[in-house]
Amino acid sequence: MAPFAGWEMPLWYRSATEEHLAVRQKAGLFDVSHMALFEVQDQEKLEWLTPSLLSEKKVGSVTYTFLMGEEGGVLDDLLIYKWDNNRFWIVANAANREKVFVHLSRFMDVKRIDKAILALQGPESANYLQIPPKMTFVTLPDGTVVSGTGYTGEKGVEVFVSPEKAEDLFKMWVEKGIVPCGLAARDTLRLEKGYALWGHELSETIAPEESVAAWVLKKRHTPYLGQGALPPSRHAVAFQLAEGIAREGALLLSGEKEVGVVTSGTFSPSLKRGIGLGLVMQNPDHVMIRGKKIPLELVTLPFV
Amino acid sequence: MKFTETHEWVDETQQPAPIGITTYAQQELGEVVYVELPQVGKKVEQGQEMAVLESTKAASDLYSPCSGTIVEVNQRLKEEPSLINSDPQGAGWILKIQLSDPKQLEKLLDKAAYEAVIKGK
Repeated sequence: MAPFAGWEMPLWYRSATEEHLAVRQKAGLFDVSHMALFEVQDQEKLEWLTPSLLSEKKVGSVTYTFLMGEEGGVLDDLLIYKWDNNRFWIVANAANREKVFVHLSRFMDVKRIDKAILALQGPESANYLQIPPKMTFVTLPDGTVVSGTGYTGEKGVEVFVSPEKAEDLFKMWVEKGIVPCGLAARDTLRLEKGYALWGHELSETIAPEESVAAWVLKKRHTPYLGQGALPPSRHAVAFQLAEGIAREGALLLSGEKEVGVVTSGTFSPSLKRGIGLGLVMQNPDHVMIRGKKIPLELVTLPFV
Repeated sequence: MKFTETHEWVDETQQPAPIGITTYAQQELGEVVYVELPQVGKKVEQGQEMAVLESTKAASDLYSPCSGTIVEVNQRLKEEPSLINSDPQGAGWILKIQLSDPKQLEKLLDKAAYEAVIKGK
C-alpha cells in the first residue's frame, strides 16, 4: 500500500506485471474512487475554463480536456460528462481535488459528488456488462452510471456507484475471475498508450501545445482562459530503449547537448523494454541513466 | 551464507561464490522487471556497485560484499528477472565472484546479525 493524495492505494495486489498483462489480454479491475467528482451547471463558464467546445458536445458524451489557469498552464486534466446543457460532471485527479474545486468555484457553483468509481478494463470486459460506445455514458435502472472510458487504451468502462454498493460489486467481479489491479499497472498501461499524467506530461508550467495531449486543442472561434499565455518552446517525444530503464527526470541529450527531460519512464511489460515520454527543445538521441549515455529510439505513439 | 547491511548475501561455502539480494531486500524493492548485469571478467572492490536491479518502483544498486573477479552472471535473469522475487537466495542469484581476499568475509554479518539489522528498521 502507498499513500496517494490522502488515500491508501495498493501499488499492486499480487504482481504489477501480471495485472498489466491481464488488462491487455483479459480483464482487470481498478478501484479509482480516489478521483474527485464534481457537478456544475454553467456550460458557458465551464467552456471558458477549458479549450474544448462543450456547447457542441452531445448530451451523454464524455470529453477529455484541460482545466486552464490564467497563466496558460494546465491546472488539471479532466473528464467532463455532459448530462444536459446545464448539468455536467467533472472528474479530476485526486491530487488536484481542492485546487480544482477552488478554481471552478471562482466562476460557478460547484457541488461535490460522493461516488465510488471502479474501472473494468480489458478485451474481455464486455463479458461482464454492456459497454457503451467510447466516450459516452449511460445510466442503468439502479442508478449506476456506466461510462465508455478508461486509462488503459483497452475496451472497458468506468462505473460510478454509491460507495456502499462498491465493495460488493468489486468482490463480485473479482470472484468472476477479473484481476484486481493497482496503481503500478495503471501507470504502465497508460504509458504504453502515451496518455498524459498530470504532474508529468501536463502541469501549470507546461504549455498545453507542448504536451503529448496537445490533440485536445482544436480550433475554436471563442477564446478560453489562459489561451496562448504560455508560449510553447518545447515538444513532447516518445522513445524506447534497447537496454535499461529511463525514469522521470533523466536528462535527454542530442549529441552532447542537454535538450530536455524524461517526464515519465518505465519498463513496458508488453514490449519488455524501457519506454518513456520526454519534453524537449529538440529531438534527443540519448538519455542519461545513472551517469551513462544510453542510445534511444524515437517512436510514434502509442507504444503498444 | 554471509550478509551485508546493504542487503546482499554471499554464499562463501561455494567457489566461486554466488551473490544475490536478501528476501527482505526483494520485498522492499518490489517486483524486479529488469536487471543490468556486469561483464564477466570485471574486477570489483568490496562495496563497489556491480549490477542494477530495476523494479516497478525504482532502481537499486547491487554492491559487492567482497573484492574479486566476476566469473559468471545469472543469464536466466534476462528472461525471468522475477526469479529475484520468487527465490532471492536460490535460483535468483545474480552473479558469482572469485574472491581475491577471503578475509573480508569475516567482517560481514552472519544470519543472526543480519536479522538484527532488519528488525532495527
